[in-house]
Amino acid sequence: MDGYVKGNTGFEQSIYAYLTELQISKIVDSLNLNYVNSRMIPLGNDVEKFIHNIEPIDFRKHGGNLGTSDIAIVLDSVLSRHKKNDVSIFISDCIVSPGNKYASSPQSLDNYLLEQRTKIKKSFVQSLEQAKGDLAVVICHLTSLFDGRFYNKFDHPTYYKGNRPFYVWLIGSTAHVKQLLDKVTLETLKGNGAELENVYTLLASAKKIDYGVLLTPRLGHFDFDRTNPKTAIRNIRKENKGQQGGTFMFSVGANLNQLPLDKSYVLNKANYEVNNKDYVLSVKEQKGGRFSHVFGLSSKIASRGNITITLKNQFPQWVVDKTDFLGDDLEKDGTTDKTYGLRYLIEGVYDAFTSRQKDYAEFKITIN
Amino acid sequence: MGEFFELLLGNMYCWFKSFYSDFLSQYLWGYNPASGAYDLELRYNSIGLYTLVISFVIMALYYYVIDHPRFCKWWSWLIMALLNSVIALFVGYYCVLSDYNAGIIPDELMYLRDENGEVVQTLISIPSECWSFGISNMIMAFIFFLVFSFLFHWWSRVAKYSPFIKF
Amino acid sequence: MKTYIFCIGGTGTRVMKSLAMLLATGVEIHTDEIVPIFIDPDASAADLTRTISFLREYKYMNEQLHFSDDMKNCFFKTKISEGIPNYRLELSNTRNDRFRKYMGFDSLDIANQALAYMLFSEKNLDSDMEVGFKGNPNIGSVVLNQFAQSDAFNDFTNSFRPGDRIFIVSSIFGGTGASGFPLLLKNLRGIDMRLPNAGNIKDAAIGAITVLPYFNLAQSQDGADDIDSSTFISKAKAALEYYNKNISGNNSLNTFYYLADDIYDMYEYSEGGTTQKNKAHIIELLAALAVVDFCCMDDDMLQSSKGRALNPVYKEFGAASNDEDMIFSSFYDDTRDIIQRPLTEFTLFCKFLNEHLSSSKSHPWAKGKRPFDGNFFNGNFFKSHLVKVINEYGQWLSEMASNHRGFSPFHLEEMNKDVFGFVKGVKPGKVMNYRSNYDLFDYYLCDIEPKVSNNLSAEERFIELFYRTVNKLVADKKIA
Repeated sequence: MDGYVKGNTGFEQSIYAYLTELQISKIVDSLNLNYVNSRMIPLGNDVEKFIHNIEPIDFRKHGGNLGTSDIAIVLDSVLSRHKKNDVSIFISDCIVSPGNKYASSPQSLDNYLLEQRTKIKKSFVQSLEQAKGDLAVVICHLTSLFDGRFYNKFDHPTYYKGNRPFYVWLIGSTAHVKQLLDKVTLETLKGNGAELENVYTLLASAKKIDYGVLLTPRLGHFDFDRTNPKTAIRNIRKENKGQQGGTFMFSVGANLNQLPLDKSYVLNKANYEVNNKDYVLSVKEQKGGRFSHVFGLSSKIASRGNITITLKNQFPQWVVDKTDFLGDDLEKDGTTDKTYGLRYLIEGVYDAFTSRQKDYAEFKITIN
Repeated sequence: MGEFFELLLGNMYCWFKSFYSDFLSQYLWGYNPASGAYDLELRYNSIGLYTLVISFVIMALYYYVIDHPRFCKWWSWLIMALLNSVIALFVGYYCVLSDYNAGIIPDELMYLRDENGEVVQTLISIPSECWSFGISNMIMAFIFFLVFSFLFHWWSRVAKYSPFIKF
Repeated sequence: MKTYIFCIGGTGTRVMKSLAMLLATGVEIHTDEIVPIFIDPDASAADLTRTISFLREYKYMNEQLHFSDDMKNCFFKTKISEGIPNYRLELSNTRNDRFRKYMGFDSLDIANQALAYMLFSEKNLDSDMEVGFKGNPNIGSVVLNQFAQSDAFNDFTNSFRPGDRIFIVSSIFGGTGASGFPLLLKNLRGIDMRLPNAGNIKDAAIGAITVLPYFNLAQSQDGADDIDSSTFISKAKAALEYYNKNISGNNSLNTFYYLADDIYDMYEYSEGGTTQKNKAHIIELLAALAVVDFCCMDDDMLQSSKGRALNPVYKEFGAASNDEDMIFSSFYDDTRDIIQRPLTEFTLFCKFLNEHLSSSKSHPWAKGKRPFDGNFFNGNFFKSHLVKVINEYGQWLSEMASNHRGFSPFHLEEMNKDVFGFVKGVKPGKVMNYRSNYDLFDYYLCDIEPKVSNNLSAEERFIELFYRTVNKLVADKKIA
């Protein structure tokens, strides 16, 4: 991480801006700043001091093994110290460093990566258990200027100066993470020399999202089923006049903004699945009203039965795209913008979450 | 069983739902768009109750108070039935109009608004739908009057066999 | 307990008719059965014909009505039975023969003929008796002596039971009544002991009413008057003299009623037959009340022994006022209590049938579980009998109203705007009911109809319904 903190880098400034924002927004009661390598080294809660003290010389002064750091172990120590009302912010380059010992047996590297994945999965499974499923992880992919020695998978250093990815992980309960993101948006990380490239959110919230069938907009006719007016309708009829004749359409409102998901992800139809193929889905944001978003379900067939709208937890392509599968030489491999082993790390987290809850949310409507 | 009776009046009113909009019907059922549940007052029941009581009173007036030898033919019954229906027309009209004036009808049922809150479409037209509902209430009142006549004409003295010779 | 009523002559006939009218209206009489027996040689007398016709209608009505516990009806309640055929005690040999031949004048010796000439004028001897004795009781007393031997008298004695009573109605000024009454009484108190029930008859409770003159006769067109009403008073005096000695003087009667008036109407001259159709008169109604009064007397007061009354009672009638046209308020309460309510109820009933029935038939009272439909109203009971009774009753009231002295207690014309104001001198009370006149009547009918038992026949239900209705109306409106 030395290369990120030499001088006044975008990395420092974006973290500084973000942490400052956290403080002044009073969204947090207290901020506990730590430096972590092989162990967690607390550095108080003075953000300015923290930022100015993260020059390489300062890292060395605080001790710890500056060399190889097992990301899985680091994440585990973060998670083990994480308490119910905490939001842990983990900032790292997330480069998996198997170490020199694998130089002689490169074929074991895959095993190491898989092992990392498994360890991370295990750590997160435990945390999910402790949190009773109420845990969210938001992984932000940023880039910043890097000027320093870059250690490859075998721990061989090379000098590199240029933009490199780093990651900010927000870990906490769904509500707290959501609160945090609403109050101090990820935009705060941008524009101070660092760029926010991608975000991936993982959830396994036990809390139900409020949703229900709306009276409008619609085409044709239906009645609410009084026994369950929010999620059941009956006596459906297609629209019989105008250009839209022959179509039946009804709307379902949902408070998707309860989820700490990226707006564009939520509005992308491709991230949804409808079990009843007679119905075509549309998604819109709604300003005001009871729900933040409105699904439209339309059909020329107007069949009856159970309809389930699933907001899928799709493993993000950018993680694969930004994974360095070689891990040798950044410039030679052309992987200056990639991170070795990233996929395995995030897959570990993904496996942990999807084992508990496969998708982000499910909305069930019955047409009688 | 309790639910059957609770919804009975509303279901009967829905026979003539085509006179007015579905949105007014949902309001009268007590649908609350804010909660998505039927937790507002079931206006079908309260308006239905007024109409039932008025129909009963007019039936009783005809068969037991007026009960006059010169006002006991089929046309006398019809006059009373029509009087009852006209009263019910105004009861239905007034109930919906007063709810509207008092702001009780939820906005989401009244209007379709765009993102900026501007009205795109009026879902319940006032006062025309007040009259429409009044008309359906009129028909309901006639039915109530007919049923009450069948049930309670027996003890009348002179008007007993109206509107039919014997039934 | 039966009461035999011997109706002698025209007056007896008309009194019996008045009695039948009163009984039709439901006047209460303390006897189970009335048995009228007419003694009148004038078989074709119009009054007799009318009376017998009415009695037959009355009998029909009474037989249709059965009077069970379910019935409160009093109309036609008292039985009037035909104890002897056609109610008439036939007199033989009065049709074709003249009196001369009847008494065998020609077979008498000269001395007896001379005696006969002292008792009978030539005119008397030449009288034909087909229409009675034309105001000559001397003829009647000879001819009427035969009835004790008649079959009808035998039927009477056969049917007489202990406790039965006898009443005799006659006029004192006519021919038949004046002679027949004492003769009949003599034959009852001095009955041949060989006859059945002779002992019971001899000591039976016997009452009688004698009606003094109450009308005049105009002179006939041809001037040949056999009957001269100016002799009525003198004849009455002669008869009274006789009664004094031979009836009241020897306690023949348990109760003796006198009835007289001083206002006379002029009747058209008729000697009898089909032309002797006298208008009904209040005297006849009051005479009928004597029968009612007699039946009400306790047995203790009517004891007789050896053909003699132990405590004979003599009665006259007094009215509260001397109105030329009498109404109910002209009488004392005793009389009003007997006749006002029944007459008012029955008259109201008749008025309804005449004035309002046709427009009322569509109401529920006629459409109950057992409706009064076209079959009923076109049937025998209603169309052939009840209507006839109503008409005769109306006729009877009209005749009394137009007579002198008159009795017109009712406004008989239609009064649709004041239906219950038809009783003269009585202002109808108010009822707690906004309906009025015939609307009120209809309302009461519909109210009462469901309470009338369906076990009764249609005829019984009809009369019962109307009786209860007029009874309640009269009571609620306080018009009797």
